[in-house]
Amino acid sequence: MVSITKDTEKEALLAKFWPQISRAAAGYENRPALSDELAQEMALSVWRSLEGFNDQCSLNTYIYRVIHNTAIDHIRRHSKISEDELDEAMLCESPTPEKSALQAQRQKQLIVAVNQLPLSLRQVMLLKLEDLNNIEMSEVLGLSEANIGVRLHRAKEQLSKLLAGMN
Amino acid sequence: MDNNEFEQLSSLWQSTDKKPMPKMDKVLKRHKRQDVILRLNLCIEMLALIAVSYLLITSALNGLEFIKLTWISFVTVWAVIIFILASRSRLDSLKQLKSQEISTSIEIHKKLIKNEIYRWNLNIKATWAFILIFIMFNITLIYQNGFELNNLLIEAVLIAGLLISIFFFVIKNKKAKEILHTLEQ
Repeated sequence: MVSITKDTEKEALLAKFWPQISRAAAGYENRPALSDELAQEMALSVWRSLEGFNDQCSLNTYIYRVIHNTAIDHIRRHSKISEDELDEAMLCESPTPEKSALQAQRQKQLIVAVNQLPLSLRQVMLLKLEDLNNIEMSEVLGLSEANIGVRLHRAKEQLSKLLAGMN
Repeated sequence: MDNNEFEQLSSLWQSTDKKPMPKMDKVLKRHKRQDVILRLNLCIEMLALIAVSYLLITSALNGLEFIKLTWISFVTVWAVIIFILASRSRLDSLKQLKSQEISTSIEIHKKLIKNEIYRWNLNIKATWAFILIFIMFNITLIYQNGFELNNLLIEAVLIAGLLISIFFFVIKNKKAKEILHTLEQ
């Protein structure tokens, strides 16, 4: 397979992965303005990295690696301040019409809970929520499948506790 | 959490509001602009460094008095050390491949943030040393030339500025330590 160099191909791939990109950005950054900025940074990184893709792994794995590497870079450059206040502000936003309002509230709770997971658990959780299997996750993260299994178990446990604490 | 519950959670996650995709040409333009600003900053820093070095050389050649020459030498060495360390960290950050495995890149980021903590610590110590030598330099001048209120006011403002910068370095150092803690989780 050859690297992806044409702008139209890159644009199409980005459009395909944009939902995953924006969700991953929300999972790493719950400050709305910075979350949008991170999503754009991720899109830019994917765009610039596509030319370097040469079948060293699957394209899916490659793109997830770029997305999550950009997030780590973001964490290093933007330390989190007064997270608790932000979490509360996010949860207290008044939702609109009933059923979708409940769904929106649950989504916000999920984003806040994911954001509160320790980084090593958050990474596996974000990939699992995107339906990646353990083999794919081990390729993205560079960890053994056994290690992924352990982390995933812990991540699920912690996420359950966090969500229960919010209800 | 059983598989069924997790599947529900996963579909809830995947059904979050879709944000509009950014226009890539605009994102690329903004990135180019940032790149130009970064290069410009680098050029300004290098020019400042050349200017200070030039001042040191001409002062030495013109036989400036020892105490002033010591002061200019100290400022030059201080600026060179800070510039080299900052540039090395920037270069390491730019060289990093975005497509490598996350576990590898986390180790690199930890190293980078440890370098940053080292750099902030060095900045704090260097600024304290700067203040100390500056005070000693001025005491020597007062001893030689007598006391002048105007000079003292200017020096007080300068020292206040340096103390504020130390405060800024301490905050940055604290934040860098928090980030290291996050990466080590």
